Amino acid sequence: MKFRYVPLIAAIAWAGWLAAAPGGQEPAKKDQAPAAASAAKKEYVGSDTCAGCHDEIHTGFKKNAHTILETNKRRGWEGKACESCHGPGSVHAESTSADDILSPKNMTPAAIDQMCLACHKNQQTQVGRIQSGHARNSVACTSCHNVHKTGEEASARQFRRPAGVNQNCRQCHMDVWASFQKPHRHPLPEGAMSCTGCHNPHASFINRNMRLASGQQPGCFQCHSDKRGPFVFEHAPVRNEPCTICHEAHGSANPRMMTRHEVANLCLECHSNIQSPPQATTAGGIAIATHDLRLPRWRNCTACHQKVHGSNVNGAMLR
Amino acid sequence: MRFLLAIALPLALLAQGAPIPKEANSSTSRTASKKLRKVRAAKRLAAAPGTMAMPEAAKPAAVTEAAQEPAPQKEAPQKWEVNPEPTGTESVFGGHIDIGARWVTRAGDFNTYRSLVNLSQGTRLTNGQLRLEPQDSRLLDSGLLTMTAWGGDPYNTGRLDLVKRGVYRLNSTYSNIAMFNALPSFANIGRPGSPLFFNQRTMDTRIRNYDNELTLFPGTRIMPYVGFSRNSSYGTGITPLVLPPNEYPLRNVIDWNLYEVRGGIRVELNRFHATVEQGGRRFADDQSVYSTETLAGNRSTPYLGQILSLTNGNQLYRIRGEAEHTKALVTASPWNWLDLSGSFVRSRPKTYSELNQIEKGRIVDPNNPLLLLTGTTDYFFGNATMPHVSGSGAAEARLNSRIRVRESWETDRFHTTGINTLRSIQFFTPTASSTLTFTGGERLEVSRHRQQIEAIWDVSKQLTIRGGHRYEWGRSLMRASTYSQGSRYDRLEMERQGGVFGFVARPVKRVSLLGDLEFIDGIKTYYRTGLYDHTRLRFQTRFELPKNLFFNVNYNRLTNENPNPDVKFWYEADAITGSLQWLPGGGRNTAIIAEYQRSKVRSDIDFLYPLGLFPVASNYRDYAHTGTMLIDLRLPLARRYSGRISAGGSFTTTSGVRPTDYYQPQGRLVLPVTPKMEFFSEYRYFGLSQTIHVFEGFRTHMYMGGVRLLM
Repeated sequence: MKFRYVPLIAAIAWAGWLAAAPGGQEPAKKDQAPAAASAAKKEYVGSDTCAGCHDEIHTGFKKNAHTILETNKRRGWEGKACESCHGPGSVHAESTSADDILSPKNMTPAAIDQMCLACHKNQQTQVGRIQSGHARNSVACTSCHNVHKTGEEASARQFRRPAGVNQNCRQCHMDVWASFQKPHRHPLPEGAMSCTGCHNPHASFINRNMRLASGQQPGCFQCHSDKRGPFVFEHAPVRNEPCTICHEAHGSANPRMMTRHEVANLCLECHSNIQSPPQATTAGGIAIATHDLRLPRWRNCTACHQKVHGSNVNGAMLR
Repeated sequence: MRFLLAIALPLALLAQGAPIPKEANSSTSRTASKKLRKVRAAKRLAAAPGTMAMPEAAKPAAVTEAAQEPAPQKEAPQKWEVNPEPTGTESVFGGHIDIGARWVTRAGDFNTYRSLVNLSQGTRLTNGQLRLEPQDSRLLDSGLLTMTAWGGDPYNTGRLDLVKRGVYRLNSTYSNIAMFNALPSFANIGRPGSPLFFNQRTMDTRIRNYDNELTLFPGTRIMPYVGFSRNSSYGTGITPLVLPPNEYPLRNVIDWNLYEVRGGIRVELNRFHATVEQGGRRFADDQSVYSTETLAGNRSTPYLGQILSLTNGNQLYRIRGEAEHTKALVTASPWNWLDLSGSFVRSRPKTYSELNQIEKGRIVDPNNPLLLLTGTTDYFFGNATMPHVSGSGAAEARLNSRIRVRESWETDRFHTTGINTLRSIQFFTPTASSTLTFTGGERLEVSRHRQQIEAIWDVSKQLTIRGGHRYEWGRSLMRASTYSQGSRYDRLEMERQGGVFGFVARPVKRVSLLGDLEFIDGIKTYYRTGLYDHTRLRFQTRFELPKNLFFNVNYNRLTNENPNPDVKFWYEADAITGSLQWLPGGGRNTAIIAEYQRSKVRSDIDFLYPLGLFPVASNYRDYAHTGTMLIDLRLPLARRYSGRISAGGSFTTTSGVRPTDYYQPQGRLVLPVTPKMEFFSEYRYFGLSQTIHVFEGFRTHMYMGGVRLLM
């Protein structure tokens, strides 16, 4: 059984079922446009009506990027920007009840995403969204973004400061933030970097939502350009494994954020391989016998093998 | 004493007659919404200038939700108290600048302190934000300039955002990060735990990143953009010159830079979007390693009865690289029930390298260990290229309002080809020499593919579950070890498959639960420590209790095991984190935030001891306790006058193979002086101690006093 065909077969089966399912599209369409779901009973009343009660929001909204909906004819929401997200407001305007208007507070994450992505799906940042962990775990857009706030409280402005981004990510990823309290770490607590410097929270088609640099290389190389290569003599794990095979990217008690307290342990755990049957082969190779680990000078591999990320000169990465 | 001065200075200035305004319209502030207070309380903790990790307090989940709700009537800042947020959205020009002076007292190892903290004393612009929003400008709708830690701190950042709606958007970012690293315990060729032989891999460099992107909006459908970025590093360090069987630590000058330009066009239609981008970059790396004095090197024993030495050593690297990339991204929603996305990226970086190396002294012939030389000269030329193609495709089908099916596929393949020529001249005497020429080639091939299908079912409004299957596979060809008995190249395969599951539950309004499980079966892997049979588990809970009390718990676990008899690798890492936030009254007068994490990393693997080739176990253990806490209080110093004081800090204490204690307590006092000025005073402490590497410990007291100027 070739496991690689399991998802493909399943995908074809799903596609077939979708195509065969009569009227299967109808409920999805209803979900896609929640604002229009109960349009038969409700009517659009325009943003000026909303401003009658929600003057504070209406005033602030004029400095919000979404205000373009209010004036742009092509987008189809001219004069009723509020209702582009909250749906027709005639019933709510009469009853003033929060139950009569669409609000993210009362919607499922999937419905919130549908509402936002109705306009924002087709954007560059959303490519790969389907693969991303946030999408899989139903983390709605409004978990991170606020829409009405202006000034310092607006997401758009908050996310322009690295500290603002970090503060937001930390809400859920407390365990990651704890790693940044360790002595050897990237300078996020100082506000010199942000989580989004390395990760794309919307989407990425490589693991851990990693941002890409210069085409399709991992985002680590954005700052560490000297490790980017290509090198005449490559150290293969740098290329075909993530940097985390040797480094704890968030923070560590070990120098240089290594995953081991001593360089020797890190290297020898791979470079100590017995030739194995092909199906179990792992790369490495045995360190030569002159490497007498009883002597300290041999225990610090990088003192000699200093170009461990790849060398342009020497196959043993001595220079 | 300095701390007292830092506090006394603002108080003394206050005592010199700063006017106190009359309280007015206090009823307005009483009517302010509690939820708005929550938002401001959380942001107040985060916006404190110059603060470190802990004061960037986490907003509680409810704060985010509160931010979505209609804002209440605007609170009139009539009282004379610390302005938590420089607001004023109606003004054309606004912002704030924090200027202060820092004093530092330090004890312990200076190199370690510089490697970890590196804050020095002097005058600093710790924080700044300037905003310009002209009402009727043809050039600009809004401009925002933010700056942090300017004036000598190891981390400077700046960002400029200019927007004219419907015309352009310009984003520019700059960061300047000090990379100082001279830890005695790293690459220490002396006795483990001994500082006698200092670190021979040190660096004192600055990495500067500069990035710009300009997007034009000639219409709503087509948006061209151009970008330019520069990434550079310059500095000095120490690095060994390796001449087996000895190494000589020499001075090192590091100077590399990378320029990248990119341009593209985005097309946005109602159901289809595409981005096409073309970019190119140039890389230059000029490294110079040199010495002028006679060095004995790291070898302390004679070699063939001779004492090895280096009287003159020079390495000059000149590395140039260039690359271009082409990128295409597509998203489409042909029907309401179907989303499609895809990407294609192709790049072809090249590198040209050149090395000139001269050594003089008493050195060993690398090709004949029994021959001693008076000098060698090496000329090296090489180049490498790496054609790299990646693609991905994904589809999400919404079968009905409750069931979604996602299918994704990724592929990534590249190979590196390197060729080189080495011309080595060996001097037996100052006049007698021989010349050797070597040529060679290198190749690395990697391909990686991944398929995943997943179904997501919204069982009810309170529960979503998902499950799916993932399959990953790949091949690699890489150079075998020099001492390998077999082929020159190893051909390896990677194969993993397994299930992915998860759920999101919101059983009641104030509670949410999230679970995430990956259960992967390894079939083949490239490396002994690579992911094989592994399981990832994540569990998150959020409780919002009455009285503005929030409680979150996270649990993460990763286990990995390679049962092959020559490997016997076992790895386990888990962490449990708890967070408590108490914001009575929305945190207006009091806010307490505390987090605690207990984490463990355990790993066992067998390896062969190089001398004798007998098996030895490598056991790694790291147990860590990490905590942060912040208490923020309003100080009602007078009837109409109040400041704020906050205290807390973070600690990390680890046990295992590298026991470490790291403490970072801090306190902060902020007092308003005029409506446009606030004084702040801050104390911080950094303390590192390690049981084994005692010599790396340090203790630092840091005091800072300054003003925030509001505009």
